Amino acid sequence: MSGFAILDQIFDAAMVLNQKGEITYFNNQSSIFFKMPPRLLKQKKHLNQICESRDLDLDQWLTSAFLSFDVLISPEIKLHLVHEPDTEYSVILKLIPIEGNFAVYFQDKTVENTLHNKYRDQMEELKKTHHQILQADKLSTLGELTATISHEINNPLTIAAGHSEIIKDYLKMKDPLAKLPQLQNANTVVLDSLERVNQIIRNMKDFLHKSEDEKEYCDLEALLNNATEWIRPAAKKANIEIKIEKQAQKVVALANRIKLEQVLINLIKNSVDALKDSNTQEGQIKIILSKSESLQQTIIDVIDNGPGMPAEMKKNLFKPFMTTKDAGRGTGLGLSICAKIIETHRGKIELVESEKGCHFRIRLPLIEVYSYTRNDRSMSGTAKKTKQKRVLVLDNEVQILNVLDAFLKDEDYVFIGSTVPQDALDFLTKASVELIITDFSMPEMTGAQFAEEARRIGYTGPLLYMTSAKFIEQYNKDKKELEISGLIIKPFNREEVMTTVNLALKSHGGKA
Amino acid sequence: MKRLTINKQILQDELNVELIGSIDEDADFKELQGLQQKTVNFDFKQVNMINSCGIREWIKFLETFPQRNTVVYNNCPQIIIEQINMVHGFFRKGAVINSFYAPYFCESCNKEQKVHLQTDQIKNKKAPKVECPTCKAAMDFDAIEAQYFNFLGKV
Repeated sequence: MSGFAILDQIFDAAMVLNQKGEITYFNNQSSIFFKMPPRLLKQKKHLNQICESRDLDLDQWLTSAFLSFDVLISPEIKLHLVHEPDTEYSVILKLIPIEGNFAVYFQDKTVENTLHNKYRDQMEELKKTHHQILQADKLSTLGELTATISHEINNPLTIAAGHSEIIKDYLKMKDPLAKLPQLQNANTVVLDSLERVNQIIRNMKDFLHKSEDEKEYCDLEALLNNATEWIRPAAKKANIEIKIEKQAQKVVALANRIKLEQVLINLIKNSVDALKDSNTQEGQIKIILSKSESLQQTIIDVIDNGPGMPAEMKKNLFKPFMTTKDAGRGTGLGLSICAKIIETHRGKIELVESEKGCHFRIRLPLIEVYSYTRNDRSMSGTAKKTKQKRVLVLDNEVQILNVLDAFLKDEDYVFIGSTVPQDALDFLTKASVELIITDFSMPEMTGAQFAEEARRIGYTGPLLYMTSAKFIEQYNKDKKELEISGLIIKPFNREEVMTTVNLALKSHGGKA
Repeated sequence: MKRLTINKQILQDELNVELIGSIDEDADFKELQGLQQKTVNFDFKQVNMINSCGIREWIKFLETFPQRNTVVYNNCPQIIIEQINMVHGFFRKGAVINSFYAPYFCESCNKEQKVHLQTDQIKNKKAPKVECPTCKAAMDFDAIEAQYFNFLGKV
């Protein structure tokens, strides 16, 4: 048996079995691994007298290996010792034919397995804690805004109550119908006021409870209006003006609406607090929405004319618990959370050097690039043997993008959304797609003009129009000239869209 | 698994450290850093488990000890001796193993015993004769001598 003495030099436990499955040799490490002195190991004839597995029938596995007389590797299994059932290992067994016998190696994966489980549990715990911190920040923001929110609710409630009184008075009259126009008007005011209250409460509920991870195409102007609406009453009370400057073109982001709103509320509220605390005359907060084509970024600037940031704060600004506010007025978590949220959007938040006041800049990737890269599978191409098809959808309505995003992603397409034809064309010069769906009526150019440009820059794949039935003539005209593969008629349903998409791709068969 | 507890005492030029529990990925020897004395005595008697992550922690910790300090291992149980024999760096150069446990078996009583031995009792990597505390018969060494006493070559 000395021929197997080489096995004593390896780190794993190893045994030699003859063709009857009897143990004929075990190496030095076996004694340590099986927690059994050599004296006792020598007495064991078969492996199942030493260890057992609930995951794998060892006898059957060995028999199949003996029959094939080939190298065999087991899946990772749990193995426990017969004389110490509480000792359980995670192991991979390897059986190698050797000189008419078989060597079995026990590769111990127990520590690796334990560490993996610990890592997973700790990551889960971290995620939970992160979620709790985000929620706490929301509650804290909401708490600080409660006074102004109550004021906001009180106004329409007072109006509603006043007009209810008017209605009541009219109804007491002998001939209330004589006052029908006034009654109808009062009733409309009551309903509008209550709707306003309802909207405020709905916004609060959304802010607190909306899903945390979903990202959607959002109109940034609408999002900014929503965010400023929270702060405007407090700003107005302190004579602070909030101004939104935007470019003519609609600016869209692929973002979690509620999280991005949380960031903006934090920044604007910080500015309001700084302006109030410093008693700045004619306080102003300017929010500028723009796009940098050269940097491929959407930019949101929040600028105030307050006292600015103390120099010593600038270095650690985005670290947790940094605050310029007095004790009890701020947790100091706001900006660190903002930075984390923007990071999850593959963006960046920074303090821009300015002579006066405070200037924060948020940079977000353009939607075309972000929607392309957020799908890791589209980048790595390793998840599936069949490469996923990439579909570029161009429509100036974000809701249309969100609906099509849901349809296409469900069927494993990579969805790339765009709201601006020129951005979509720029994207096409840098990356390839297998299908384009374009809206027909867009402010900047028509679907036909876009298709023409796309063909000019070398896109040869299928292209679908998406428009109302009245443009059918246009489609008939363009289908040959611009090789338009089909038409999705608005309003559409999932089946109509998916059938058209699948057929267009199929009929084009690899031309893209 | 019981987490590692470290009890320490400083007496004149000596730091005495008692290790209790498991030396694994959670083992933290930070509290011993900066307490270096001329001699550091480790007592392993109550260590009941050690895994590869614990070994890494131990080796990293030993590296923080200045070479001029003498490190002494006392009461090493079988699992520690097995690691010393197997893992480079577990036992640092110049360290001393004072005493350890070795497995013995009494055939007449059919009983296993862990016998406490002093390093200087081992000559030529041969297990010393030990009699059974119950029947007084000579016990057999219950491991492979050349392998178990391999650590003596490192001392």
